[in-house]
Amino acid sequence: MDRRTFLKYGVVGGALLVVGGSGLALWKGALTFTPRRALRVMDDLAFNVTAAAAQAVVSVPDADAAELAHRVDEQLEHTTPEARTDFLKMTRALNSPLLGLILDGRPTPFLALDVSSRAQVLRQWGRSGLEVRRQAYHSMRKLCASAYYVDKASWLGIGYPGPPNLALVETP
Amino acid sequence: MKLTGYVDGSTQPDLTLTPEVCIIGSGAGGAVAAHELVTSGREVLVVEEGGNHTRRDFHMLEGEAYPQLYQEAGQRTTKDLSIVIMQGRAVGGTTVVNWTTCFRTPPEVLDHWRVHHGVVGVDTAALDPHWAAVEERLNIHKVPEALMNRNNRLLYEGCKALGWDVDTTRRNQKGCKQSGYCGMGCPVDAKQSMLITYLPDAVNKGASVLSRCRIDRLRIERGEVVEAQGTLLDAPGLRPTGKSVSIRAKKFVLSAGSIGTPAILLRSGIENPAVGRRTFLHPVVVSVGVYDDLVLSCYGAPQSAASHQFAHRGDKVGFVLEAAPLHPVLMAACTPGLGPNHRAAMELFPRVAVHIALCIDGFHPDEPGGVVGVHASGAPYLDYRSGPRIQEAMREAQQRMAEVQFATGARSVMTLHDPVLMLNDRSEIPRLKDASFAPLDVFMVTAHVMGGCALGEDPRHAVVRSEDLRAHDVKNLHVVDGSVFPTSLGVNPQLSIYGLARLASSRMAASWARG
Repeated sequence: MDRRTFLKYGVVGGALLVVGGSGLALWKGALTFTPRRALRVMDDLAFNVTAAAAQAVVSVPDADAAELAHRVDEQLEHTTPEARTDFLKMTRALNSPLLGLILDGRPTPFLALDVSSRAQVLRQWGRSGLEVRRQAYHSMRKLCASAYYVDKASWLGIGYPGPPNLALVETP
Repeated sequence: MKLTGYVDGSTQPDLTLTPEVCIIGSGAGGAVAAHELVTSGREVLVVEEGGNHTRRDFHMLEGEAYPQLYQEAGQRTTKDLSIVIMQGRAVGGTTVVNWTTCFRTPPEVLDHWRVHHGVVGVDTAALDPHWAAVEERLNIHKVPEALMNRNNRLLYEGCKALGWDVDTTRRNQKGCKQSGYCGMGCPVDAKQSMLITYLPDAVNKGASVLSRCRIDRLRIERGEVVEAQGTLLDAPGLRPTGKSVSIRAKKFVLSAGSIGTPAILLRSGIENPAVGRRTFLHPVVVSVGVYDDLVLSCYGAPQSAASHQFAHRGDKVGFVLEAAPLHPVLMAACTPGLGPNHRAAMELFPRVAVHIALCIDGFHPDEPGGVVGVHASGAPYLDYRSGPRIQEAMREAQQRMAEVQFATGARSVMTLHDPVLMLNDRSEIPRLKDASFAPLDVFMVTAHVMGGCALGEDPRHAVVRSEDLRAHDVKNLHVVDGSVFPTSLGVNPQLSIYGLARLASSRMAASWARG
């Protein structure tokens, strides 16, 4: 291949990359979870990514992913403005097919994956050499898991009897 | 304007207050200081960012307690997110949510401060009468062996079986029903926290307490604080109400804890380079023993046994072994893994013992601790990285805790690595020698934030002087909380803070009386 042909292919390839990259950057996947009450910190995309992550974190049939995302949203309200911003950025990075392609060879938004593929992506983040991705993994995992087990309805399944009735307890 | 008794800042208009003494923070340091200073005849106002909650608000539910009583609803972490920081945010501070364990400061720690940190006049002899007075007021007594819950008993019996030093702890309680929910606020007022002891004592003598008031900065002119500027917060403590507070006092006492106190000083532009530095955590690593029968670590006094067998390891970082209570949200957050793996671990809930090792940080020159800083929003952060010495101690502690758990019949032992490292019998303990204890590779937590405004005579390395905890470079400002510790303690800190607060406040009162 002569220099001119190489440059021609290079220009065409570059253009394709720009178009493809832009397309990937804009592809978000379907927002299938609809907030049921006003969001405190999140936007619709962050809400959907969190709900989708919650389905992978909490694999229990009765888990209501949208409700878990609401609880995470309400928890975030107690954190610092910087932590809230980081969380929103993290949901965008997690959903980004462009970043997925570059870092993991996955050119698909998180929201377009099935539950087991989402779990796989989260595990990849948890094992990543990039500290920021491991931070994101731990943050999302803790928030979603806590959001499920805060509910009394979850306790029976793990054998937690709940708080005692102190009116019936004698002081030893 | 003068406030009386307890005042909820969320309902107040703009306030301009002129007490004689303004104490910022109502936890272990601030409450004791308030009582001592009001008893000496001073007019005292205590301001507190958290809400004023009582036992009627404490329903033993994590979903209520964490947002109500903890900094950032229990989600505060170090800057790199590797260590969860459990700190109180309420009238009474962390004493409302701690697990009631009381130790006096070990004498060797006070000696270390004297020799290595230039601390003068803060020794066992000076502190003894103050500890004794606090112990009487808070009804601090040793837990009878019969009252240990199974979780603590396993630690106790395991250490005994291995021939290690172990003892029951002392607790500040009166009429405890052994519910196990100390960390969510005591529902029967058995815990003798600041909320029901020194604060009401101080209020009965004329002090006032303004809750939901966040102090943003101190205005310092010509080496003196002339004003504390604050913001009133709404009832849940989430947003400013739009009303502000100006406090012009003769004396100011900072007792906002080891992250809050340095953060206020940094926002105030104080130039002492030691502010926020040398912050220590007793970083904790956890061992989960799985037993065939019920342990139910959720019930019973959360901490009633401790082993100091490995507190002194020569040139290596020492650690203390204790037990920790377990509730569903706590377990969900600290249990690694996703999906079915996480669920399988959660289903072990009734049968697990939770033992913890607190690493004693701050005693080696190459271990500088963390640094408190302030974000652009004004919110504080703590940048703390557990270095090789701490990681070595965690690795050793993880093995020792597994020994304890296998010695008491554990079917298996889990670490909180992600993925979990599961040991099926004692012969597998050496596998832990290859495990990573680097930040984010294993779950770490702390409930003991110390340092950041060290006491000592050298203003290049210390923020406050030893005698009365007065700031070196601000004449009418004292710091009275755990931030003044030059190192960690190697024991749970509440009684150390009470004792030092009482000693320093009595010296302040005497010095102010002399003019």
